[in-house]
Amino acid sequence: MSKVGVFVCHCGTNIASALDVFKVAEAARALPGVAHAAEYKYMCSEPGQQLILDAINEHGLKRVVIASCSPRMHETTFRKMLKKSKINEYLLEIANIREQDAWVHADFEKATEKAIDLVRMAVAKALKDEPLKAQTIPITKRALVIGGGIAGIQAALDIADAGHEAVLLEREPSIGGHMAMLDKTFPTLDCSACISTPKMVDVGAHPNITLLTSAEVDAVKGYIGNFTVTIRKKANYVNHDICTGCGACEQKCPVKTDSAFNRGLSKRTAIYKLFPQAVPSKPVIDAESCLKLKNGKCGVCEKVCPLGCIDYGDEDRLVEMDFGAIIVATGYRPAKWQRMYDEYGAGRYADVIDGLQFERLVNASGPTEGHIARPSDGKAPKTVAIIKCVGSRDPKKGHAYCSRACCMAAAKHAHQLIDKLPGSRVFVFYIDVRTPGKGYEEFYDQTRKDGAVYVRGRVSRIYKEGDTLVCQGEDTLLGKQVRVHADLVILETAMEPSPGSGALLGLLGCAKDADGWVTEAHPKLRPVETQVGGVFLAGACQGPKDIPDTVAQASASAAKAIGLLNKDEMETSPMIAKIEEDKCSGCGACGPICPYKAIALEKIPARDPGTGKKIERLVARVNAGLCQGCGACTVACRTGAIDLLGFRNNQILEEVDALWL
Amino acid sequence: MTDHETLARLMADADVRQYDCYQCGKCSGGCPMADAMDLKPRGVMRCAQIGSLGRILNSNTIWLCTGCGACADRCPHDVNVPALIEEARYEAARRGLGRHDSEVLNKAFVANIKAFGRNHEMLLAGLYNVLALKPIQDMASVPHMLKKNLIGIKPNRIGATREIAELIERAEKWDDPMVATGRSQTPEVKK
Repeated sequence: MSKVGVFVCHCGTNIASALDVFKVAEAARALPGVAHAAEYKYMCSEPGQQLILDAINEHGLKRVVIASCSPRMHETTFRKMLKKSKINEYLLEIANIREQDAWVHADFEKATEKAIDLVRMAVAKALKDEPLKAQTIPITKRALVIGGGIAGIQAALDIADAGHEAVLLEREPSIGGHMAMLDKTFPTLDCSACISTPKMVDVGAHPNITLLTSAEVDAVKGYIGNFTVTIRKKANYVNHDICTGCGACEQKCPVKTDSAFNRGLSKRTAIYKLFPQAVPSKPVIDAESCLKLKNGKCGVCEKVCPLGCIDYGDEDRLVEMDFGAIIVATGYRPAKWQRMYDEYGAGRYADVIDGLQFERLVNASGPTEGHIARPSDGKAPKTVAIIKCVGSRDPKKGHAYCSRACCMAAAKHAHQLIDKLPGSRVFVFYIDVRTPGKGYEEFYDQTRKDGAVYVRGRVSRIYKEGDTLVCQGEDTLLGKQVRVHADLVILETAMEPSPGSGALLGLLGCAKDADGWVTEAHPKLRPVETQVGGVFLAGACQGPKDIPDTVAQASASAAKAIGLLNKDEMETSPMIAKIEEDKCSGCGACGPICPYKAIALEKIPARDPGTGKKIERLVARVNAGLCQGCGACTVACRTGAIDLLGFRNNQILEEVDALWL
Repeated sequence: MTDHETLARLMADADVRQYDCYQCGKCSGGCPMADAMDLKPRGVMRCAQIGSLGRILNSNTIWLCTGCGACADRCPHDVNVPALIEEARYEAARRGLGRHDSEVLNKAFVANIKAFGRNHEMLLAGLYNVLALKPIQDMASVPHMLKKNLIGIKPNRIGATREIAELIERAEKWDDPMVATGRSQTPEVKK
């Protein structure tokens, strides 16, 4: 009989106050196969682990059962501990007497009884446990960063600086993201372009970074360390290999269409650079507005291009690349408030703009060269109303969550208005002012000192009266209705997940929450990892965030990716499905059941049982890198050819028998 | 029943929960009657949150609310303030806290419907002015409204006047004003 050691943990008072740990240890001692049993206050602690290791040596134990918390909590801890002993780390069983016993039962006696049952089952299984060995898989030393905003830029630069290859993917013609649109950043009022464009240039020039703009992810295969991603390089009709970005084409293009970068406040041509500081600094053709591509007439850009870069026959191209790690940095989009708030005019009033439009208005490189001119008539506004929480904190019309950055954006906008338009009056409608950040509260305080009037109340409606927009709401601190006759209204809109991010997460197999944000592996302790191994997240794709938080998270996810890429190979869990080829009939029932696409049918040489001739037959094969050990295939198998290592059928039945027989 | 329990019942009947409201004031901000109210819609919710039923029942708000629903429509948490106000109105009526002019208007309105099956505005306004002892209120608007055909001298009758009157009479036999009125109009105020 193999010698089993049972170790019962008190978990402080977590377990010891709900059941009799001494009695559990005593009962364990009497179980068949048990050579030693002990209890201790904290088994996971340094002395606790030493106690186990000493007992293994002293009593010559061959298998270990630890009755403690959930295996999700400390199974890894104890496996690592066993590596220091002579026992294989998979000859370990955890009896969960905390989450599944102490924490959920009030009756001391019955809880003790249940703990003894759980220990008996674990011992029975431990006796059937077999040593397992972790396999290793190679790692492709290249990372894919999806999204070229400040999060993606930072992550790519960090990975590249650490000496690894990074591919930065951006669906727009230039990297830069929303930060490139901003005028200044709170609370220091740094010029946004001055601090972000140098990083963009670094990305373009870094020998370890491959920049792919106008590109999207088409398909993802593989697993941690070994992803194969199909990238769609969208047709841009300009050969960037020879284009120098001289700009002759842009000057001559006859088409005028709304500039998305300037949030519809100005026009751009059909062949265009996203903005003057774009990286790469080369134009692309927008096929939807180009006359030549729409109806075959025009072709001016081709005529004026001195180098012959224009190629109207350009098509989307698919490229397959291998990666070891993927960082998702797809960011956000401002909420489409026009669809949500009829009471704010639903977009009928030109002078009701969103915060990002104001950023373009106040930006020296924006459509008005930094002069704050209201869109309707170009006049400088004298009274401005800023409305916060538009689409945020509004589960009925928008989103339940707080978008985090808008309070500070509103304070910044108020400051900029007072600064640029002396004598103007600024009213900020708020519900709560949330400024938890370094220097944030001080900035808000200064804005109030500058003269911004904060009114506590959500604006109920906006209507036009003559030349002004009347913002009607309640000053809730006074309990009176107020009407602000504003020349310009700025809505600080909610952040929403970037369009298309849901489809991308589907390709990657990552989970998202009810609002569409990427779910992290653990909200506190694994904040930059997703539930898919080797896929990390950075920035606003995980939830609304300001720039400092985004950059911090980007560097954190880069560190995780670098940690992975630094290894030449990595261990995989040996607790995966195992197929006995002799029993496998090649029916293929297991393949479609597998959620990880880890099972494929393969032909193997065999002999015909009747004639003894050499033939080929189909059997199922498990990819050790993809298999997550869920066990779905084992129940689907008709011939019982599949077993889950560590959870073999006979091991589980042994547990059931121990409980009932 | 304590005020606390009564308030809980009113809230439950109105399907309104105290914790839904975070006092943003969007309701009061857009209320067309707010200027005349001594307790604005947000104030009604605040009183409900702190358990001050008396303030709600003694406010003029519950008699002035027209039930237009602008507040409920715009509320980020979908709080149905008019429903709560309506429940409060019934409770005030039960406690004899009705206002004389509201009571007069309600009586004149019901009499009107009984007589014609449909409201006759001119008669309603006239009756109200006489009974409420405000004989010349809004008189200046009469010529304009007559000219624009907003009110008429003759009543607009409907075919089933008798049946409508019977319905109202049946309802009036119920003791509970809430049941009696099918919750669609102000109940009779007990003297």
